[in-house]
Amino acid sequence: MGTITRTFANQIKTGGKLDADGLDLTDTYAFTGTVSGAGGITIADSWRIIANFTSSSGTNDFSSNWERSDQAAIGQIGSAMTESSGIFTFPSTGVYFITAQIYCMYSAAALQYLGAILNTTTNNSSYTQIAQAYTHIEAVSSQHAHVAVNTLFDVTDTSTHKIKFSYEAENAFLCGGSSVIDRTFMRFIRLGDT
Amino acid sequence: MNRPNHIEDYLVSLHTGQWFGWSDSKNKVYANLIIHDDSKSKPSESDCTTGLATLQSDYDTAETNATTKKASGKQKLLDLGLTEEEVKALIGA
Repeated sequence: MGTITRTFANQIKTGGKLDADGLDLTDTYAFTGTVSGAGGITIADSWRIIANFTSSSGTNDFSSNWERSDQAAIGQIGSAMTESSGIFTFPSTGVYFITAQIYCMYSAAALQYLGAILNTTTNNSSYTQIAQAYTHIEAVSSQHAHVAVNTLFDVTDTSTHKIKFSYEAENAFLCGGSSVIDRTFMRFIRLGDT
Repeated sequence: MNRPNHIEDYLVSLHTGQWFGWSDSKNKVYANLIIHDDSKSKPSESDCTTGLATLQSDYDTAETNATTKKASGKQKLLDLGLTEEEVKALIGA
């Protein structure tokens, strides 16, 4: 845990010490100092797929059509993630909570399995699956479903530690995407220091 | 499934994968259509509008057929001697 680097100077009694009653919690404190290392959320970001598409079967990355969620109601904190061909780079080191969702619809065949998979690299080259979640879609024309997955990722070096989102589908499905509402998306929250 | 109402609905029916996108995500018009996959050709604007119209027609036909078949099936059940209440319990209408 960090420390407060400046005191509430104008609340300290004569002689530089608090009196026996301590701080008067009914007072208004005009704190102008700096608190360091005290934790708190410094980065929160959200990205989404902007267009519907018919998936391929098998395992495939969400490699294109990403944009930062930009509705007025969605608030981001701190620096943004950056994305290139579906690979996300973190703005700073730290431990991140990452969640992702696929909004899926029946296309032409039932799916016994549809997986949402998070993949990470620590060398900016080879990726390893770090989290999976699965659902299924029945052979009904109006069948809608979603599958969500999340993980923690200790990003010790932003140049080598990256993440991408992929799916594993038995058959093709219709993947929901939109540029005005989050359907298939990823969210990134920095929880604290690495 | 909702009634197709955008050329994107036609585009997703052409190929699988994320082969297309939009240069302006907030303005999904043909002029902003981009192709990510070099192995796929960009459909013409008329292909898109015609394709969308065909999807809408197919959807409407399927909806009409479903309604017609539901009414036909209901009538056959009534002809077999089921009451309106019994039919409603079976098919919800």
